[in-house]
Amino acid sequence: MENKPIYFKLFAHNIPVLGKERSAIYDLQKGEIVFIPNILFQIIQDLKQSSLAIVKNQYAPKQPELFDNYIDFLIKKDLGFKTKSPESFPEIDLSYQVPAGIYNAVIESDFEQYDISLAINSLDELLCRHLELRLQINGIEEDFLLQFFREINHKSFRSMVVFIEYRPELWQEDWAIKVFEACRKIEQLIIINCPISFKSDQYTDKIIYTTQSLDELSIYKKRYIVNINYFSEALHFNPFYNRKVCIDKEGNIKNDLRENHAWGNVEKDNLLKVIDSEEFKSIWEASPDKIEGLKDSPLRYCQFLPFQLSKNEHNTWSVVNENILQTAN
Amino acid sequence: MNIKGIETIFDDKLLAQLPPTYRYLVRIESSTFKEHFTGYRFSKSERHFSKNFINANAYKPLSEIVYQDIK
Repeated sequence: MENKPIYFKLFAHNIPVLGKERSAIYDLQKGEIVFIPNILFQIIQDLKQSSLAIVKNQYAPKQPELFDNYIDFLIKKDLGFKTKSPESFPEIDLSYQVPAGIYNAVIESDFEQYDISLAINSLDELLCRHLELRLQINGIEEDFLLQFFREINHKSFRSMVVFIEYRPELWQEDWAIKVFEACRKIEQLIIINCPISFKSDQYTDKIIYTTQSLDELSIYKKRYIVNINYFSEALHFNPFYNRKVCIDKEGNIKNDLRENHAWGNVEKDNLLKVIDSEEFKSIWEASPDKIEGLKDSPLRYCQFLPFQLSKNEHNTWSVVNENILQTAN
Repeated sequence: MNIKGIETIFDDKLLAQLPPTYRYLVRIESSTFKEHFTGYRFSKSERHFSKNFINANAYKPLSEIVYQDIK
């Protein structure tokens, strides 16, 4: 039998990421992170090209047991394996492509200040996949609202989350169930600013009554999202802003509802043209590698990044409220 | 996948006649078994010419709000 050299490979879904002080291995299948020292990151990079024996001799010629400990650690954590034919295990494809002009949209409306159906129809044309609606329905007839949701049921969205401001008649659960059943795209119907919090008996976790307001829900909390879609998007784009559009209560088109700057208005401007402009799309490119204070973190490709950003020179970005970044790190 | 219990799903009399591996069959809640599509919602999409357009959740939060935090 041919005496081939032994190689070590990480499973294709385990991706090492270099940080400033320590590194991490993203297990994109289990959705887990394993921290490693930077030296182990370098060893893993070298093991892509060279056999175990060569790399061991390079890093620990006098103390090979130290090197073996690192490899045993990776095998025990089920992160990699030894093989004599590394060419049989190619790297995973981490390119990011979405068959939609807009992936997600957030629309605020009180049904008075602009025609919401203009925005919905444009997003349908863009094959927008996910929609978050934030509605105030003061003075809106039940039939009008049910008809509005029935029409959305034929659009191209794959899921919707609807926030509705509390009104006393919404306290009757039948009303919320009617809305939920009128539009089967609704994955969650959340009634905010309620006197007490509770969940629907019939649709637990789908229809939620909460005392919390949108401002309370918007407070930043540290979150990590470990999956291959998020990871591959974060390699090239900013996952929070990329392929996203927001429309505020007055119909203004924004990258994020919390921003003051608007790129147009759905009543006056063509949403498709605004979204296609380089200025609007500029922030989509603010990948974690380009954000000051974040680019050295080993967790930059899994961190939830709902930060307001400002553009610097040399195509880099800064977080407007730097204190929030300290919370995040 | 939600495993309901690891006890055998057959009665002892039947189990005696079956190969030993049948003792390890477990009961799984069908709503947690993706291929059954139970618990999924289906809508429509005119652009996709579909009357059974399956809902799918996003792989990331849609806005600054994380829905799992809502109490």
